[in-house]
Amino acid sequence: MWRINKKGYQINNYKGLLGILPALLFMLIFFIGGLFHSLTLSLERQPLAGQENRFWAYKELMNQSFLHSIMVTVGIAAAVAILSGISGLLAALFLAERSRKWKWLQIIFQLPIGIPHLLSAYLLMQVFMQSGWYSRLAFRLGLVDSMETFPVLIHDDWGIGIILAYMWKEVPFIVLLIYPFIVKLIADWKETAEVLGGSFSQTVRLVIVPILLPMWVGGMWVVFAFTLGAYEIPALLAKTSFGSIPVLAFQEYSQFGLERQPFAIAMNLVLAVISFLIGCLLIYFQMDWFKKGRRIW
Amino acid sequence: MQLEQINIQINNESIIHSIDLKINSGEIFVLMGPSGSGKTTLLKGIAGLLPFTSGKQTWENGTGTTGLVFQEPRLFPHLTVLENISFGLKVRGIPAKERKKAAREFLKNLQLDGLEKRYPHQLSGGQQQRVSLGRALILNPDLLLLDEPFASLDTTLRQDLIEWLYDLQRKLSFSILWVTHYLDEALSVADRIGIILEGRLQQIGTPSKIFQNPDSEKIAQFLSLPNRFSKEQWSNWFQGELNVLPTLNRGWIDPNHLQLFAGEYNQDEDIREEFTCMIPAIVTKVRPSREGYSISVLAGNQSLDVNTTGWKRVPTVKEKIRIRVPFAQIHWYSE
Repeated sequence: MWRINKKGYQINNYKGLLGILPALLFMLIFFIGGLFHSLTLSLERQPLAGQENRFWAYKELMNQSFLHSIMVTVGIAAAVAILSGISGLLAALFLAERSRKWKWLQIIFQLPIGIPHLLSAYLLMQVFMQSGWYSRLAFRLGLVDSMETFPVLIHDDWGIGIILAYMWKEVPFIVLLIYPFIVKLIADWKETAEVLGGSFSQTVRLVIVPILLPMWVGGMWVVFAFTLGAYEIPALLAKTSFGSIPVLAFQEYSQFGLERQPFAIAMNLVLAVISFLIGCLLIYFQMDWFKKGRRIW
Repeated sequence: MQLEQINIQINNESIIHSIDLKINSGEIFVLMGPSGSGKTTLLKGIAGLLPFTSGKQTWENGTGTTGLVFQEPRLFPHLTVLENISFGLKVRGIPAKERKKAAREFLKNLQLDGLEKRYPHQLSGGQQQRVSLGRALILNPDLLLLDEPFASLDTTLRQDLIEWLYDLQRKLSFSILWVTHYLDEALSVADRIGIILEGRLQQIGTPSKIFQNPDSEKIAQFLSLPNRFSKEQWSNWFQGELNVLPTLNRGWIDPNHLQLFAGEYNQDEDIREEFTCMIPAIVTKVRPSREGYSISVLAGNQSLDVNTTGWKRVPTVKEKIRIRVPFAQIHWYSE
């Protein structure tokens, strides 16, 4: 007969931890390690460039221009996350409720996920710029007097092109994330809410969205964090003076020599801290939501 | 509420066929039928969840409302007891203060005082089903539709809830269309019973009428009526013509009305005013029951069930016995 000794019991107690060990090690070594290394690099002195203070990079960041860059970068990421979240929810509801038979429509919705961001930015540029397809079409249809009067959507002041390019990629991501749950939630709750007099929009507002909230907001946070640190799309679609931090950081990193590296890394670390703080805030709200015993499944 | 010639088709398949039904005010109408007979489809049709293919639904006062309670409580997991109960009021645009007040007052009827802030997973199965009932009843429906509401609960809890709902219904006087496949549930609450088989309403009547005079052998079979035999078989046992209407060609008798005798034949046993017969038989199975024993016997090639009361000695398997059958206790029906 099998006998389990003390060591066996200990291993048994921690077998759950052993299961996640590979993922944990990966995160510890690459993520925490990388973060620590970046922090050390950002605090490097540069005596040759006259920077003796360990915090010179962060001191240099404390100016009006960088604050403006933070607002622009965070603003664009928040706009992309919120707009993608709302559009993704509406699209997933439409797909789940109205087009269960049209499987091809669901496949079309998933196609942009496979297109690289760089390519999506290029495609968007081709269609939305003032000499692009839509301006030509609008001109041919007589909607605009000349192609130059077509609204500026690429390299514009408000980052509309950037938002559109990100949304083209992120809306399908949100749809992919929440669609199966929406299908299940509609199957579970639509009939129940209907017999109590609830319309479909009330069922969505009062039942489906609250139950879906933690996952939906989590998806939006992923989009926010990604957009906050992504480089390609603002590099291609933003005007030079736009001030997107990832673009500025890459310029510092690649164009001004090794002595500017701590500065570039400090910029990215500021973004990481913002993303982390917003993540913590969302986790706090989520914990508060569940605190009283509320469950969603 | 009245249904006239209701038909329901789902994916071109006819589920409900030409149903006529009237449910009176303050009445409990129990709908019984085997699985797949169309009970739930009819209920969903009445609740407006499925469209009628043809037919008419009318109400005594012109218009009417229904409330539907499913087999599972289906409580919204993110809402408290109070929020679940007041959900229907919320979607009707009743202000928060008013709906909370109404829900709090209704909690007393539901025997859920003090549980208003709990979430569904913090309640027992019976409490959850009471919230589910309260959620429908607070809307004051003209007709409450119950789709086997207590089927997922254990026997004791089910009986308690049946009693509680029956008392509540008598107090508040709402009408109920109650679907169940439990005979005891139907008998304990029904003012009238309807039997639905293969999408057709086969018989409507009081519980005693349905059980004593089923309209067909199919209904008798569905109700699991015991000791069902043809008139010819009964005539053989009674050794002569029976004084029964010619249209009634089958009869059943309750096992409690059969008397079992062991040992030799004694003529004194037959000195009675009532018309009886004695059937010789062999015991095939003996099962203890709450009242005494439930005994299966074989008389020729026919099997009969006999119930005895008390815990005195009972025959053993393969023992030869006799059964006394009082003619007056046989219920006759048409095949």
